[in-house]
Amino acid sequence: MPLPWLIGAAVVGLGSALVAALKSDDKPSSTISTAEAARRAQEAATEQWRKTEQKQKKDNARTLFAEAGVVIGTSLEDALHGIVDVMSLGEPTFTATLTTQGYRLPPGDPSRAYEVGHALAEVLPMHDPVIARISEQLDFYTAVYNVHLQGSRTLYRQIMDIQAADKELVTLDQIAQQLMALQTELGTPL
Amino acid sequence: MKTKDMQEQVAALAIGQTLQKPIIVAYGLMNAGKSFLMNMLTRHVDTECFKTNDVRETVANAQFESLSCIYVDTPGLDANSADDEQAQRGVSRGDVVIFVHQPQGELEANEIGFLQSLSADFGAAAASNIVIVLSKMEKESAEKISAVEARIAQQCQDVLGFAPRIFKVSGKRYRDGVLKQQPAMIALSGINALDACLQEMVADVHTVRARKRAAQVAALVAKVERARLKAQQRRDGLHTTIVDSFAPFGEQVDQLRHFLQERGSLFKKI
Repeated sequence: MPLPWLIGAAVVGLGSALVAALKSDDKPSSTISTAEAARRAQEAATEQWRKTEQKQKKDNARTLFAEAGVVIGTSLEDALHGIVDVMSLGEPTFTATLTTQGYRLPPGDPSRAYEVGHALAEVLPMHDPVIARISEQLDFYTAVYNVHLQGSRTLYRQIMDIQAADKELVTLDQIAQQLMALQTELGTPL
Repeated sequence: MKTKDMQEQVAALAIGQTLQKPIIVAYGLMNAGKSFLMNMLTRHVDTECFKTNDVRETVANAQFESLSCIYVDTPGLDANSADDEQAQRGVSRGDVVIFVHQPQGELEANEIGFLQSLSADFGAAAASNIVIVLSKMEKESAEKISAVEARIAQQCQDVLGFAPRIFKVSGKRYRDGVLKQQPAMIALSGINALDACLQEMVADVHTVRARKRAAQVAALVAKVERARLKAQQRRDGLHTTIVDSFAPFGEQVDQLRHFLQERGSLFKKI
């Protein structure tokens, strides 16, 4: 945003310097020196203005970034409702920051999403790309937000049901093998 | 059928019964006269080896071992599910099954259901290893019993695909005949004829058992496969539910990534 008062002050300063120079010395070399000083002063003022404006723009961008990050964080928490319990570990919740390189995240803490990932790995094949992606997404979420994740009761119940189904399948396979042996013994292959 | 029941059944089939004596099982509705019939067949005329009563008396499988056979009396069917399960366990051990029916009329729908299940259990050996006994024949006229016999034979033919041997017996006549020493009454009771037939049926017990076991194994294989399919479907369904429940979160994370990238790029340009 332009700052007219700053430019005005610089121009006034420049004028005063110019008048003083003319009064003290009427030589041409002095005139050149005075003009150069005025130009430099104007450049300095312009640079100062530019830096101030840039800083303000960055501050504004950071504020908007943090506000939007909090809003997105609420949506993420809502999206996990019923399957994963999200516990805040303190402020600021949104930990990403803008830098001259783009954005930066604080060092990740894998333990924050470990419980959920571990629970999923108990029953779902981690080599399954879908499951690996969910696990990676949970890790990313906890890297961007200062939260700890824990599986909900519903999720753990579903996981326990899968474990029970797995156990039943193993038992049924064992029974099927025993029956195959019996069929061989009885000479009645099906 | 539960997985545990299947385990028990396969264990029983694995053990086999080759070393045991032939097993004759009485099976039928409550108060059909199973226990009294078994008392007569095991020659317990004046003492009760198998408890009888007008009320539901047999609640567990009871057995008596003679020199040549093991006789098993099962709880009456259709009294309650626990009794039915007990009876099912008892009948699954049988080499020969006597299905006892009171000849007041034809086979009832529930009796036909039990006979179908029994027949499936025996498989190809069903026709030669299931007999139907019309008990308490002294309570009905000869004409009526003959009509009932014909009707039951037809019912079995229609539903089971074969007509089993049907015996008309009177345990009461047999007992009176023995106690009064009247051979004619004993002969008329039909008990000895039934017994002779049973002994003939169990003579080739090993072949019968092998056939029955083969049929039972085949039936169990089908049950296990159905149970396996069901468990797999249940598991797949839960897997899908979990994956689907994370889908909205995944979309939000993608948006978050995009947001970070976009704002980061814009910031660099300031």
